[in-house]
Amino acid sequence: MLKRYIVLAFRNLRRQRLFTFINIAGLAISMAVCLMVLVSLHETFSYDNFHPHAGRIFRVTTKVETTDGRKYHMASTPLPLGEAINAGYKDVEQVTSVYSALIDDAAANGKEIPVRAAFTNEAFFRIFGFKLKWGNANTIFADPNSIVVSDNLAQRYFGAGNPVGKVIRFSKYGNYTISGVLETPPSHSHLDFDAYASLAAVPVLEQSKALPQMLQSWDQVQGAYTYVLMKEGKGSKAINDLLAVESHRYDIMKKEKRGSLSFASQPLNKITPSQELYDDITSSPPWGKVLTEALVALGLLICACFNYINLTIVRSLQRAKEVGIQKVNGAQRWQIFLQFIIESVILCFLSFILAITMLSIARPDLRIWNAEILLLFLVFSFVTGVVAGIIPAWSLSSFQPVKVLKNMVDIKLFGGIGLRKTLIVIQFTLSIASIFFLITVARQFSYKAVVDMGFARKDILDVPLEKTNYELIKQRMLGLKDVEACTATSGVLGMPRETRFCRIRTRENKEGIEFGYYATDNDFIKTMHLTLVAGTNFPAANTDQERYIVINERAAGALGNKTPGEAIGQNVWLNDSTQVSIVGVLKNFNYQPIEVDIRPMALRFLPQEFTKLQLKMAKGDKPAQVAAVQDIWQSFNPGKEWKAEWMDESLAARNGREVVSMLSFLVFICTLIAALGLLGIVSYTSFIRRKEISVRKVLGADVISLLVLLSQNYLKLIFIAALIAMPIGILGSSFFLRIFAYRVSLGILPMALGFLGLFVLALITILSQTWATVQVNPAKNLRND
Amino acid sequence: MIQLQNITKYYPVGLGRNFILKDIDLTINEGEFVSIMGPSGSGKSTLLHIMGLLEEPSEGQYLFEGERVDKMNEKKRTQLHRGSIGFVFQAYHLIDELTVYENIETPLLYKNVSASERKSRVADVLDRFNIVAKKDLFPNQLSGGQQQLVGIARAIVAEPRVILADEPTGNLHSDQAKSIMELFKELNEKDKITIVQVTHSDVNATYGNRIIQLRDGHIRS
Repeated sequence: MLKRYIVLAFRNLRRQRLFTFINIAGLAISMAVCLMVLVSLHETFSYDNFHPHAGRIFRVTTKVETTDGRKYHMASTPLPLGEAINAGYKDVEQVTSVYSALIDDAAANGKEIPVRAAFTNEAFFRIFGFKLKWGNANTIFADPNSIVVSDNLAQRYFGAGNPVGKVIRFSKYGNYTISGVLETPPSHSHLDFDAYASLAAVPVLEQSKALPQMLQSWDQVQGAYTYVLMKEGKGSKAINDLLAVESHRYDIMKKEKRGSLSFASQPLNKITPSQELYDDITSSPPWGKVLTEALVALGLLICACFNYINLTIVRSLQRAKEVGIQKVNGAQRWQIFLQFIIESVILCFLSFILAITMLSIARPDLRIWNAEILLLFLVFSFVTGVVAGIIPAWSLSSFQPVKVLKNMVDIKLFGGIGLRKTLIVIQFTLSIASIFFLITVARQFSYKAVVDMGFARKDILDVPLEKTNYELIKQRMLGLKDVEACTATSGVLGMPRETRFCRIRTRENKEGIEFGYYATDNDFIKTMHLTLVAGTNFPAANTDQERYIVINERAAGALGNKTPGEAIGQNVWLNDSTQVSIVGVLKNFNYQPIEVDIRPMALRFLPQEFTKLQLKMAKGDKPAQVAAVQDIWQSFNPGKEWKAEWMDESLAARNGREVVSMLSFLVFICTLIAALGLLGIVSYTSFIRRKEISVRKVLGADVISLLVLLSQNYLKLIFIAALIAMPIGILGSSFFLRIFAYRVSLGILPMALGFLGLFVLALITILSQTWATVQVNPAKNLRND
Repeated sequence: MIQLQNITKYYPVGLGRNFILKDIDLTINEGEFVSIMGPSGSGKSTLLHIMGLLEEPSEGQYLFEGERVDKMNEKKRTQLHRGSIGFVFQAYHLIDELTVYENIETPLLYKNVSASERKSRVADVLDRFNIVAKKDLFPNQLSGGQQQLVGIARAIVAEPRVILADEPTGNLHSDQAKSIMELFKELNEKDKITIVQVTHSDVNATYGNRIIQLRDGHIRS
């Protein structure tokens, strides 16, 4: 029986080439997207699945409320919490602190590599399932200056071979001896530091001021993470109880209205996907992204299923006879139902094979050849087949044999035309709405790429300053004939997260105002082509002491000046300590990306915060210029990796090209699926109506009126879809544009053009099928009846 | 075997009714070969469909082997199709995607006959109808007469007690029609299968042993 179903399915698929092609193509494309998402979901949910005690491991989180009432849920805790829990509770088996502070370039074996390491204790290895490739877990931190490195880091420094006993040198944090090497864990972990050093090294570093005072500080919540392994049978209630006790430390704070802190727990398996706590260390995507991905993929798949449903129902006129015969021969309804479900499952498996083939060609990097994932895929395509097949199978298996066999024309299809129309409208609504959204996003990002932010960006080379004296290297650079200007700065204008912040207080305003600032020297204004509306630049000969600042117009206003000129000479306090006077006021410019409005900002002369040199180059041979600059830079930083960027390029790289291309891809697929579906439907209905067309032709109808007759219903549907899509697209676009303080207007014309494009595509699709129907010789259709 | 009592079939048309069959009383005994004749629209096919349980009468009683079947549910009706009734159609109604062999096998599949028995029974029928050589062809590779032969083979493979044939030779030319009718006669005489056929042709009607004339939904005898 099953064999018969399968044979029938394959022969039917082979006979209905267009139908099979449309369905397999649509399903395969959307399945490929689904599979990509499935792989990424699988990866996301396999984080930290190798810890033997995973069910008993908790991370302590901190709920912070500041004095002004803002609330933060932090993934980190005060550093001393780990020790406190370890000392006092019988339900706790092990506690460890992971203090993420050892982040700097580190040298070993003649190589200097940026290392992201944390301090922790031996309990770390008893709580988590990390295994050592080399070294002894029990004595791993016997020496306070020992460090355990990841296999990856060990290989980058020393290649293969056992590096235990070798020394890694951090210029700021001292030398560490490798006491062990971690095996690469079988899956991702949210704990993905390059190395773990002994917590015993921290007191000395705090004394030498290399690290801030954290060990004894109960009110600093940053960078320190506390993990607790509870005793067997003690779960989240036990840990929450003990955390409630620990939270009493902050009762005084609450009483004095200095804000509050309290602790909460997070089971290990809830850390990923990220719940977007503040100060989190996980590299896993947040829930929002995971859900969006899954929704988009499912949406596409549902669109492809709509095609299957629509085409199968339309095509059922051709299958009706078969159903009638089967029933007369004794088939029960469920047997017919099963036959059609099997057919759709087979179709899905074929699409699945095509999807996998496409994926392994297009994304060979994707790890799909894994038994677990393949099994997941198989189940997934089986479910898709069943879901897509249910409505058509129900509809087809309901045919009464006598009606089908007597008179094939008046079969009433399940759900009638209404269902099919609805599905087409949904598909095109999605497609049109996403086209509208894409157009807005693309316009905004192209606007962002070219908008004048008020500073120069062309021909400016950004070079890292490292730890060299900025004046020395600057002098050397200015010696190059192609370098027109050079400035040292703490950040690149227009890039996100490069602004630093401080609080500025005036005599009148004791509370102060928060300012963004860039630490720069006095060539910054010239190099960046900024305009002074009042006052002057920093004086050329600056002392070590910070004495002057330059602010922008917005800041001058915020400090209570009516005109920029009034601000000149005003004395202000920075962070309550440094008194400086305002020497210049800059015309407002977008120092931050245009998502953000222009806020009060300042240029400060703070050489210790300089991180970059920005070189204005003359027009000319770019590679040669870079080579010349690199020569000088390398002479200051022997052995260091050279990385320089052109400012205009690094700004342009943030123009959302990835977002736009990703969205275009989705729009393309969505539209393609909708167009394929339309093609199929029009093709079948034209086929069904060929006799009517022939009769009309014999009666004297001309080609145009017949084309209109065949096409108008579908064009109407597309207009309806556009009407529904318009508010959705406009709403989505406005929400997107609200992210930006500086944005393009909602372009109705570009949207109309986008719709026109889709409309033309639909028109071509429809005409490609109706044209042939209309051209056919009527005698041919009327004779053979 | 088949007892129809006061069978009436009508469709509502506007406020009134359009009668297809009216007060049909008819008994067909086991082993008979009955031909139903009459002009187009006289209700022949509807009568045959009611006998074959493909349609339900609006009024009246239908006893099949003494059992009331006019109000049977679909499941029981399907059981009867499988066991007792075979159909032959004017348009053959073979499944295009199945070979001759597979088409004949279909009723046995639904009857849950074991694979080995299916094989021998289909082989028997193929042999008897002399179509062994054609068993792997698809319907569209056969002539009309051959297709109807397959249609009859399919109707008898499940060993029904009644064959209902709706103008079985309507699409065939006379030579083919003659051989089909002889086959029916043979099935009736040798295998004792009751046969009811609807036909337009006086010649075909003579193969049977009783003729029922239908006009405007009434039996004229």
